[in-house]
Amino acid sequence: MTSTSKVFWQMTKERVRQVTQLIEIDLGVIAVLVVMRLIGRLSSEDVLGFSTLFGLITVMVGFVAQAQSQEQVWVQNRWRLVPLADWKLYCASTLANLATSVYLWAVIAAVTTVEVLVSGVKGYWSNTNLVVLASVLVLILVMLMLLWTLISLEHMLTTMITDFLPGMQEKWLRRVIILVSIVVSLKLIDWFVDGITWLVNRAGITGASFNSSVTINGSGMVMHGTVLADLWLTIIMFAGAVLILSVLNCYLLSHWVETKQTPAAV
Amino acid sequence: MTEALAIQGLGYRRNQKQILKDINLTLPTGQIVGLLGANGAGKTTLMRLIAGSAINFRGAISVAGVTTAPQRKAQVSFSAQMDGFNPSWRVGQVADVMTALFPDFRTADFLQLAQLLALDQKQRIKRLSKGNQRKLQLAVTLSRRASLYLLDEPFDGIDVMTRKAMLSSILRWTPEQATLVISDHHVSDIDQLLDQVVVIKDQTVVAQEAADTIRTQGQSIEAYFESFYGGEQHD
Repeated sequence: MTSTSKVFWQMTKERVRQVTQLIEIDLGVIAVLVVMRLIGRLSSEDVLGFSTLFGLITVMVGFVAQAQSQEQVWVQNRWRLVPLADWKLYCASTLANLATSVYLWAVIAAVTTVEVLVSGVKGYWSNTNLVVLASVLVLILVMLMLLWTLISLEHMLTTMITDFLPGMQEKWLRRVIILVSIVVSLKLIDWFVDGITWLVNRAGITGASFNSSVTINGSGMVMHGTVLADLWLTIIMFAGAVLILSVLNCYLLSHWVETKQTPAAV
Repeated sequence: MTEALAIQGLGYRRNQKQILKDINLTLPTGQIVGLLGANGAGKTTLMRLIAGSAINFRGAISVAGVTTAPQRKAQVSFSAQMDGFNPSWRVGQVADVMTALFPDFRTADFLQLAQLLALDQKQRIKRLSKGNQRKLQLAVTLSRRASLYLLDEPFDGIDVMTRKAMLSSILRWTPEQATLVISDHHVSDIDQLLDQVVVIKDQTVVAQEAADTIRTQGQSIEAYFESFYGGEQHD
């Protein structure tokens, strides 16, 4: 049997290689911006603004590329024939996406930091609260996971339905199924959030009370203020949704989702 | 002794269409078995079910005594396991990835097989000819130390010389205790290799016979297979 960690490392290696190509493109764009600054066509503020914008575009393209890599895992023999339980394969793929995202963000953040330091532009991060920034980053990571989970759910539902019902070779019918499964996936999230909100209200939990009960001092991170506490409450809710949908995805993966049949392909 | 493969009451539907039904099949260890059937008979589907890439079936499949999907995957080396490799990768990279993902993959065996089949390690997959892609598929499949090897139409669209090289590799590299199943509808390609013949027709196994028994009856494997189709064209 193959260990989960080996599959995780292999997936991470391949996805990191993929996003590294995106980073190279981003660096190329920054190089062009720097040259334009040197010949006086752009100001330092413009260079910083444009490069931050391209950094965000790189992160978004990276997200799409990772979603695509993740979806291929579910339907390619290359991954599905690895001797590993389906739920472990699912976890390995999701964690590989998470690790790749952290790598991508870290590089983009490092590049932006170097740019800020070199440009000498003052006040770029002057109002940035690091604790809030860290919390927002965690929230974005959890939201990314939720999106990947939803994309997987939609893909798996579509695969399951098109393999089960007759006459699914028709393209328009497939599109209808995709649309329906997107609505179902979103409705599931809606119900989940409604349920959690109802529970939170019923238990009388507010951002402030949550703040007083969950304070992390030891790690140097102190939660303060209702906004921050609400942020963490949202993170926990999203993480719960990720967990529940992941369980559903693992069930679909091991019982319904088969690989694409391409006997002639290598 | 544990059988290489034991299938009981296997049925499989897709899009509400019966693809396979009531399959019962037992294969001993150390045999080369021809899985014969016309196009669309269900040979590939049967292999996918055995290997674990098709999952929603009825009945029981046991490979070398194990039944769960992950355990079966550890015992089966299926030629379709290369589906999904990046076409831009080089032959050598395929070996590296297989080594990382399959504990039973033998890189040294792969290198020897690749040399025997004249595969260039530095060549990209997408630049390989169809014949060389088939050779790569064969080299990857045979480089695992599995109990059961499944080769799905390995000689499809392959010229005579390549076919000969591949046949000799199969004979030389299949471990003695392992069972190898080759599916094909061009029986003459593989008839000299076979110890056993399994014929699929009408979504089920209609015959299983030792190749020597067929030969001692003065019949060729091809004629035996065609007798189930009443001489109809199955190409």
